[in-house]
Amino acid sequence: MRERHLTDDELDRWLCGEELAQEAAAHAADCLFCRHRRASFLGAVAAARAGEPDAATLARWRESALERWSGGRGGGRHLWLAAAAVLFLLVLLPVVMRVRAPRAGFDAEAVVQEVDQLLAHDPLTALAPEELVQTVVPVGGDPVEGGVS
Amino acid sequence: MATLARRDREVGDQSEATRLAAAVGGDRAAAEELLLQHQLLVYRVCRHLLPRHEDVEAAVQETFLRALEKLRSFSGRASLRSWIVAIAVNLCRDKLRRRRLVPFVPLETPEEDGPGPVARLEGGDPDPERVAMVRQAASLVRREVGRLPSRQREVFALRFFADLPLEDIAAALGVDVGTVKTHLHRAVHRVRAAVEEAMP
Repeated sequence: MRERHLTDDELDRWLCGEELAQEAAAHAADCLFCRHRRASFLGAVAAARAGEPDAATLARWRESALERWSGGRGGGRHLWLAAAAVLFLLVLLPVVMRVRAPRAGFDAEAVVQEVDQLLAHDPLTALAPEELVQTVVPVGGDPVEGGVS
Repeated sequence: MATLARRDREVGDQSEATRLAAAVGGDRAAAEELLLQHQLLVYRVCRHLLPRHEDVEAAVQETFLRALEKLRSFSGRASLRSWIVAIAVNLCRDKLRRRRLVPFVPLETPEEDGPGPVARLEGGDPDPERVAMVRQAASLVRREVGRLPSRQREVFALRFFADLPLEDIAAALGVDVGTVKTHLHRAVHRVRAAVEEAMP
């Protein structure tokens, strides 16, 4: 059996979980010194690892994540609904605005002129059909006795 | 014996797959089971990769949440365990990147003021001298791990603090097993040498 202790490199390999050469492995199996070096390192690592949160803390963290997860799933649906509503408004609003907007080509000035011409020609025809006007107020004739004044 | 172990593993895989499917479907109880199963692992990863306690708590909760949100995208190529660890490691990296001006000073165990974890580790009535030695060794390991380059620190933490096999570490970090071995070997060499030098 090999009497020389494990080298640092061999010890590191052993600690990393790698297989040692047969001679080195046989030595390590029986050598208190090499086993002690290994155990010391692993003990220090185990001590460094100690200290974990209690069950209540872990439960609180778990619960918080689950709440956010559940809320997120519902929230996702709400987000889609809100997005759909915004999209609908974006499409609908221009349509409504177009319907309510003044028609293109509407010339207010021309309308006013037309009305002025009509009133200048015979203001009464603007208020009633010409036939009625002729009956009530014949052009050039005297008003009918007892007629409507 | 080996057949029994394999059958147990298969049954375990099946129940995990069932839970996974239920959680993907929105089953809260199944989702909680998955978190229960992996919570300590996630905690150990975050605790040993992040220097600030408030970051650890946030990282654990964010890992839980992100894992649940992304469960649907879990392909099953790697184990669920290494998939969740990958999420935790990435979150820790993000947090460290955001705090890159802050030097990595590893966390001390909150209970270190009392004999709690060390006494439990040693078992029975603690011998004060021995407790002090173990505590010193723990501090040394934490300090040396904190000084390692980030990839070596990740590999060391996943191997020795989270107890992950090399294959799972490789899957979680997205590298091959050979690379993991190389980083682990360098990390172990540095930490062991420091511990032996300080405590011959």
